[in-house]
Amino acid sequence: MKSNGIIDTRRLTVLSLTVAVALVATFIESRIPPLISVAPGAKMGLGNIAPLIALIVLGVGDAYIVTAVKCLLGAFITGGVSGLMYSVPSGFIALTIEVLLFAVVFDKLSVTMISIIGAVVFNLVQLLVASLITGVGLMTLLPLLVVAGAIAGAVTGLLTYHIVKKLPYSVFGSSRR
Amino acid sequence: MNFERIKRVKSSKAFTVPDAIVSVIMVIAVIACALFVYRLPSADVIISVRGEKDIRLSLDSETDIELKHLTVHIHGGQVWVTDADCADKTCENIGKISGAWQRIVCLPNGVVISVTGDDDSLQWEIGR
Repeated sequence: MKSNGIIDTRRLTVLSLTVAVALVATFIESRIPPLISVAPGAKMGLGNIAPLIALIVLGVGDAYIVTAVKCLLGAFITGGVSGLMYSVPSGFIALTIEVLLFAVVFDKLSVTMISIIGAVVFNLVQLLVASLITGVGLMTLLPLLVVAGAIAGAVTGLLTYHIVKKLPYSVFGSSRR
Repeated sequence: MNFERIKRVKSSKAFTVPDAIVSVIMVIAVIACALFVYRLPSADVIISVRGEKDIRLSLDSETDIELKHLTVHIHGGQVWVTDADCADKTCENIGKISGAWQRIVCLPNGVVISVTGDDDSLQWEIGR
């Protein structure tokens, strides 16, 4: 958060804006009734654009901050505080996978694909947590949730890619200081 | 700001050849997984009362079973419940089930009727 001893205001602003947009997306999404009711908890997850953008534009640490804030405030906004049990482990593990993929295979795999893998991992962890909590084998939901995750991940990934691609460098500040 | 990374993302493609390969692998994995989980069954019906008494019948057995609190009908590959003496009638309202991952649960009487695939371990284990 610091550069040359002063707090980087632009970075702080981008971080706050990213979180704010994510929370608004999460809120709007929570008001829309689920289109498919076969897979409980399957939704677009537009709020997941935020950690991905933070990861690209800001850095690894900031991406974790965005995820943490999004999980916590998102739970309060949607009124599902018990959802934290699912969203925190899934959010952090999915982000960690995305961080690793970005570090190792980015350029070969696109932002879209990294987002797809992240979303699928997110759903898998969620299913695992649900199985552990309920003590019920939820294997039958697995293929469904993988497909749902892949579609959601493709949408958020493409959006993230185009947002970063289309935004001019001036938004992020001068590149040469 | 991570300008180096922003630059790399800006110059990257929306979808790459390795992406396609990974996608194909994922699709195959999902199909294999789905076939395994939703294996089309020569299904059985398991009627479990309070987690103790298990009655196992073929889905093809054209029969009606009168239990203490309800009657289970198995006809034409479908299972349904009538004459439940509970108040909520949830089990009757579920209607006819036939799929390998469906079940009828009558909580007041502790009766669970599940349709199984070939592999019971993959089925939900609620109340069993």
